[in-house]
Amino acid sequence: MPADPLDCALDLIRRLPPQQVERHVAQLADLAPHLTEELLSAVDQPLKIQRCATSGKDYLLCDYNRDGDAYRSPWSNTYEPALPDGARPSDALRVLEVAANDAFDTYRELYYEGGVSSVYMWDLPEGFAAVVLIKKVGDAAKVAGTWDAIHVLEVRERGQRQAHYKLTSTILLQMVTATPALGQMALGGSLTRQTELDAPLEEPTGHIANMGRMVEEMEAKLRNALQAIYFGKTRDIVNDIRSAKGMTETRQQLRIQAELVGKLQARGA
Amino acid sequence: MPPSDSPDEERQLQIVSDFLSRAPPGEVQDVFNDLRVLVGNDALLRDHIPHTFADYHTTNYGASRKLVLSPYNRVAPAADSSAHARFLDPKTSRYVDVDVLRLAVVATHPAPALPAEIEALRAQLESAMEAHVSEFYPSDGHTPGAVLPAGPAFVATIVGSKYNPSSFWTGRWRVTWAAAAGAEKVQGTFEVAVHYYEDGNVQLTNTKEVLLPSLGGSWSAPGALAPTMAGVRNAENAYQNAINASYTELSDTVFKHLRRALPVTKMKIEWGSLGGYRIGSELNSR
Repeated sequence: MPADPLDCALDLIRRLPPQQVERHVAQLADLAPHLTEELLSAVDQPLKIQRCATSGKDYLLCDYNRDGDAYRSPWSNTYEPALPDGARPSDALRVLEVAANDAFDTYRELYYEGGVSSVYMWDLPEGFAAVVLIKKVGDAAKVAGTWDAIHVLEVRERGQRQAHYKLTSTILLQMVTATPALGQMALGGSLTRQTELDAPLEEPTGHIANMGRMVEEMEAKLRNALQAIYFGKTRDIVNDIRSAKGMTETRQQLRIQAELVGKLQARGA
Repeated sequence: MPPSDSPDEERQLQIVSDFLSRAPPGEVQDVFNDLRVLVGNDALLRDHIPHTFADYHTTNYGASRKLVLSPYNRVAPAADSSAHARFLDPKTSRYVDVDVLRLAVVATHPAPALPAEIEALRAQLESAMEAHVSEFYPSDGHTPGAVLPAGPAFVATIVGSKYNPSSFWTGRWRVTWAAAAGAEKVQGTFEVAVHYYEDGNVQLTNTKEVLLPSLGGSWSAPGALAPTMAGVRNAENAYQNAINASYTELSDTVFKHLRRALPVTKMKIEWGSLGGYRIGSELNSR
């Protein structure tokens, strides 16, 4: 069976240095123009910040609030630059979108103590979809750190009092630092996880609490995974390839350990 | 599918070369397999790709059998074969033709011998470096080291790598030590790359250069190399310690400041009564 070009493009994104993902998406679009739209929606890229001309508040740009070259502000519901017939959520969904932006703004403040958040919603034939975005740029001296969280939710109401949620979450985490002893160090990339949930729905605004709990739990899980992989796994690999102790000492320690185990076993017998 | 005389061929080859040059440790073939499907023009790739592979393995210290491929031992290839690259193996004093797509040796030819005193010095450095590599680079992948005569100087190239695609990770250390006999300084370059790609794509890259004082004088005297090798060992260890310290700092400070594990209240959010938080935080900020 011939390989699917989109799968190959996504495999390349999974292998090439994640610090330059935007450049790679642009190059792939040059190489295979027919995949451009699919790549833009499938590949998570660092979020850009823009100031809303109406409200003066910052909001985040992504493929989900883009129409052509214009981006919709979640605060004013208008496109910048102006785009009178740009895609917008239905009136009922916009009410939910406003409330969700408010709720996740509070969530962001409590967990991030800074940064920018935006929620965008759009209608689907059955139900709706939402994306919750949070960006935080670190302010540590000597280290450039950025965190971009992208949570895409598909929501279907089941009967009057039940809804089904499908969540796909990606966190992009980049850190760059340099010191005389260390040289240049870049540790970055992204992790993606998916989950689904059926939850009771008492009233339309109940979606926000359901989505909020789901995103909160997912971010906690992803944060643990990031911690384990960034600072545990990749570090183990560095120390696995070069042994700082040297093999003479390592072998000696292993021999002593084996002798101790042997003695303990002999005593137990 | 673009026609074979597509005006974009040059741009396509540019992107292919760029992507191949950025392949993580041990994954250049995977990157190539993906590109083959996307380009859909094997004839175009067949003519240009061996050169790109040769450059990739030269830059990244690919290893063919026990020979480290590097810019320091690459020599002009035989005119009749663009698919093979030629490298000097100083240990056997032979030129080695390598099929760069498979990293296989396809032929060897005699190379001119070094002057006896230079070869004696090189061999001595090589055996010290080999002991160093087997002590500190315990890899189940390729861990060769080589000492090459490079003009009036000697260059030691070390590569340690582990590729574990079934667990979705690969990693590589590259170390280069260069010194002229009797020179004031020994120059070291360290390059570490790690790729983890289960449900994501996480990469570490680290590079650093150091200058060590050289002992000067004659290296051929018995035991004369020991201080230099101790300097090499200490510099590599100090670098590895700095990487580990940086991991601790990034985890304990930068990561924690980007996003808290829990809000200051140490409690998860009460989503049902979120309005209360907003009022609370507005009150606090006044």
